[in-house]
Amino acid sequence: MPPAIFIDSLVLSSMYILMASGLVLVFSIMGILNFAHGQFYMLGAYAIFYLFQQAGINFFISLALSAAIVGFVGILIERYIMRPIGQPIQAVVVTIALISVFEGLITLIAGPAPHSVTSAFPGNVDIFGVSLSSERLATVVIAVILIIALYLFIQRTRLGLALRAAAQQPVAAGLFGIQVARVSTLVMGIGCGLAALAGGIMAPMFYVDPWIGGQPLVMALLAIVIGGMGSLGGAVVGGIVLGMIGSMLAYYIGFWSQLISFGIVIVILLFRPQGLFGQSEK
Amino acid sequence: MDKAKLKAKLPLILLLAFIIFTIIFPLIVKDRFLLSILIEAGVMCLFALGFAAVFRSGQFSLGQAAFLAVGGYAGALLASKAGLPFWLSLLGGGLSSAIVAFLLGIVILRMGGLYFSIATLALGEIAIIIAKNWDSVTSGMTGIAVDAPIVKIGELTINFATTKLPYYYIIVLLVIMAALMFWRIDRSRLGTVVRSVAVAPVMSEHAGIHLMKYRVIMFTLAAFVTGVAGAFYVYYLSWVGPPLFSGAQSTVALIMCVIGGLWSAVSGPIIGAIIVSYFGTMMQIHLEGLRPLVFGVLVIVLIWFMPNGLVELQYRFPAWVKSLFKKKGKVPDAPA
Amino acid sequence: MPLLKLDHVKKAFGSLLALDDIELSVNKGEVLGIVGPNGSGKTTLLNVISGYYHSSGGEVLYKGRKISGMRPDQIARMGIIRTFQQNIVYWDTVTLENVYRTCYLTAKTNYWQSFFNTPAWVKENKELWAKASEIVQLFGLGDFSFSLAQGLPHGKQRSLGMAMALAADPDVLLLDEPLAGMDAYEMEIVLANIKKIIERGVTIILVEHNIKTVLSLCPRIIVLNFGHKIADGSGQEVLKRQDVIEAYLGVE
Repeated sequence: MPPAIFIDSLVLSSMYILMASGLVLVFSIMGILNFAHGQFYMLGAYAIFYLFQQAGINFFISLALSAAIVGFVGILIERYIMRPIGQPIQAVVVTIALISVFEGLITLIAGPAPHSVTSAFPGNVDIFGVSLSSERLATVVIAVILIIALYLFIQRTRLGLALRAAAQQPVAAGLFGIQVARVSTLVMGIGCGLAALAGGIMAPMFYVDPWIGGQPLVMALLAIVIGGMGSLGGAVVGGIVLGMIGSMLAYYIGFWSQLISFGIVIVILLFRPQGLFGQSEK
Repeated sequence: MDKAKLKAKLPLILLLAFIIFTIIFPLIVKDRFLLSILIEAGVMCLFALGFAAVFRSGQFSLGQAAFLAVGGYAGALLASKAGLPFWLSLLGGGLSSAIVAFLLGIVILRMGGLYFSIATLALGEIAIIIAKNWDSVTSGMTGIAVDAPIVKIGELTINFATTKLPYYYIIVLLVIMAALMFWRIDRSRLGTVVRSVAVAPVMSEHAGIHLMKYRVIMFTLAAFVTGVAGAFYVYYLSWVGPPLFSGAQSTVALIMCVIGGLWSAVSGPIIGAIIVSYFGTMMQIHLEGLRPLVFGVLVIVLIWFMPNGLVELQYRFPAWVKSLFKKKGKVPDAPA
Repeated sequence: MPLLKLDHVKKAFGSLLALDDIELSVNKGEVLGIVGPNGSGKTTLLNVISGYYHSSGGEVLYKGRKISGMRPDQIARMGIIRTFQQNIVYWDTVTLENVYRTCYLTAKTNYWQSFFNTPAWVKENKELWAKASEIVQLFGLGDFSFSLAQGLPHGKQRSLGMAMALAADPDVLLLDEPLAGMDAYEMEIVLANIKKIIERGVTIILVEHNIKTVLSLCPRIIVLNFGHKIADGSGQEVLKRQDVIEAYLGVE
C-alpha cells in the first residue's frame, strides 16, 4: 500500500478512535448511546473555523478552547436536560432531537454553505525518502497524544478510578462515596470534548458544514462493535481496523468499499458478537 | 349501571367516531395540500407501527428505513418492469421486505440488544449504498419513475393521476388494517409472549419460550407492514430514489413512537406519527430554515413534560378537568 | 431407568474446571439436595442441566434422551424448569400476570385461535387465569395478586419465582438457592411452599447453601467441592464423612 494511503488510513483511524472513545465513555457510565455525538464533532469543527480561521488564534489554543466550550455544552445538556428526564429511551430520543437542534442552530449562525479551514501545518515532510503531508502526520500525532492522555487519565488518576468503578458497579461505587451522577456529568463533558477535538483536528482536512456529523457517528458506532462494547481498548482496535479496511478497500476496489466495510462489521458481529477483543459471557 | 357500561364502551365509540371522521373528512374539507400531508402521515403511521412492533419484542431497530426502501424499490420494480397491478405491487413490496427481514433476522437477531441496533444501523446504510450504486436495477440517484395506477372496478374507473383521494382512502384502510393486526397481537397470547421475551429474556427462555422465534416473527411482521408502506409511498410520489430512505428516517420513527407513547402498541405510534408529520410539514413550510431548530426543541420540551408520550393525556386530561371543578379538593393521581 | 442422568459431565471456564466428571442419577419423585461451599459448582450444575451453559464434556440424559446441547427453552419444554438465584420477574406487570405468563407451556390452543378470539381460546384463557390465581393463592401471594411484581418484598419475590416455575407444570424442578438472603420468617414460608411442591410429586433438585434446610427436606444429598462430587447418600451418611466435614469446616 502506498505510504500516502497508509497515512490516510491512520488519519481516518484516529478520527474513529477519538469519536468511539467518547461514545464508549458516555455509554459505559450513562448506559445510553449519544446520537448527537456526531454533532459535537461538528460543533468542534466550527469552533476551529471561528477561532483559528476567523480570529486567528493559535491552532493548539483553539483546539483546547473548542474542547472546553463543547465539553461545557455537553455538561449543561447532561445536567439540565438528560438527568431530569432520567429514563434511558427518552434520553436517547433527546439526543436524537439534539441533532436537529445543533444542525439548525449552526445553519442559522453560519449558514448552510460549506467552509474550508486552512491548514495549520502546510507543506510536506520527507521521512525515509517518502514525502508525506505534514498536516496529516500532525493530525495522527495529535490524536495519538490525546488517546494516550485519555488512557493515563482513566488508568492513573483518582477521577479515572472513580469513573471505572462507576462504569462497572454503579451501586457499589455509590456506596463507596463516588457520586455517580457527578461522574455522568463529567463523562458527558469529556466525551463531548473528545468529539470536538476530533472535529477540530479533522476540520482543516475536510470542509466544514452543518451536516458533517452524521458519518463520523456511524463509523464510531461500527468501530465500537468491532472492538467490543464498553472498553476503551476495544474502541482503539475497532477504530484502527475500520480505518485501515475503509481506506485500503477504497484504494483497491473503489466505490463499493463502503458496502464491504459494513458487511465486514456484520460478519464480525455474527461470529464474535462480543467484538474482536471483548470477553465472552458464556 | 348504565353509566359504567357506557364508560367501558367509550374507547370503542371514540374509535368508531374517529374512523368515521377520517372517512368523511376529505369530503368536507377540500384542501388538497392538507390531504397530501395526511397521506404522508398515514405512511408514517405504518412506519412507526413497525418500529413499535420491533421495540415491543425488546429490540431497538435503527434501520427500519431499509425496509421502507426494500418495499419501495420492490413495489416500483414490480409495477414498472413486471407491470403488476397496484394491489399486487403493494403486496409484493410488503412480502419482499418481509423475506429480507426474515433472512436477516434469523442472523442478526441472535446478537440482540445494542449489537442488533448497530447491525440494523449498518443495514440501513448498506441499503442506501446499494440503492445509490446498483445502477442496473435501482437506476442510482435518478431513481425509478412509477406510473399512477388506473384501477377498474366494474364500470368504475379510478385514475389515481387525477385525484389524490383514492390514495387517502387506501392509506386509511392500510393503517386501520395494520392497527387492528397489531392491536389483536398485543391483546392475544402472542403479545403476552412477546412482552415476556422483551422484559425478561433469560427467564422466558427457561420457561420454554424460544426467544429467536418471537423476535423474528415481530421483526418480519414489522418489515411487512413497513414494506407495504414503502411501496404505497412510491406509488403516491410516482418515483423512488435513495433520498427517500435516509438513515435519519429510522430515528424519526423512534421520535414518533416516544412522542406518541411507547408503552401502547397501537395508539401511541399512530398519534405520534400524525402529530410529528403534520407539524413537521407545517414547520417546514412556515419556518423554513428555522425548522430543524424548532423541531428539535419542541421534541425535547414534549419529552420533558410528557415522558410517557401523548397517550398519557387520556389520564391527565380527566384529572385536570376534575381539578377545575373541585378546586381545592384532592384529585387522585393518574394511574401510571 | 433414572429420570435424569448426568454422565461424566464437565464444565470449564477457560482453564478453570467448574465441574469435573460429575456422575449423577435422579429417579422420578426424588428430592435431591446439592450442597457445597461457595464456588463449588452447585449453580453451574443447574445451569448445565437447564441448558444455560453447554457442558464442555459428557452428557446429560433426560428420560433416556440426550439434552445437553439443547437450548434452554427446548429443555424447559421437556419438563425441566428452574428458578433463579436472583429475583427475576416480569417487571412490567402484576404478580398474577407473572404467573399467568408462565402458564405459556400448558396452553393448548394456538396463536391464531387467540388472535381471532375463538370460543376455544376464550374458554382456555379463563382456565389459565384460574390456574394462575390458584397457584398464587397456594403460595400465599393472594393479597399481592394485583401489585406490581417488581415492588414485592424480597421474600415474596422468591415465592413468586417458585410459583412461576410451578405454573409451567414441571416434571423436574431445579431450585437455585431459594432461601438466599431471607429472614427466619420468610424462610419458614418458603420451606412450606417447597413442601407443597414436593407433595405434588414433582422431582426436585435443590441447590442450597444452608445445610440444615437441605437435611430437613431432602432424603438424599450430594456434596460438591471444587467441581467434584465428594459424597452422595442420605443426610446421616454424608455428614459422617471426613472429607465433607473438611470441605465445610476445614477451610475456616
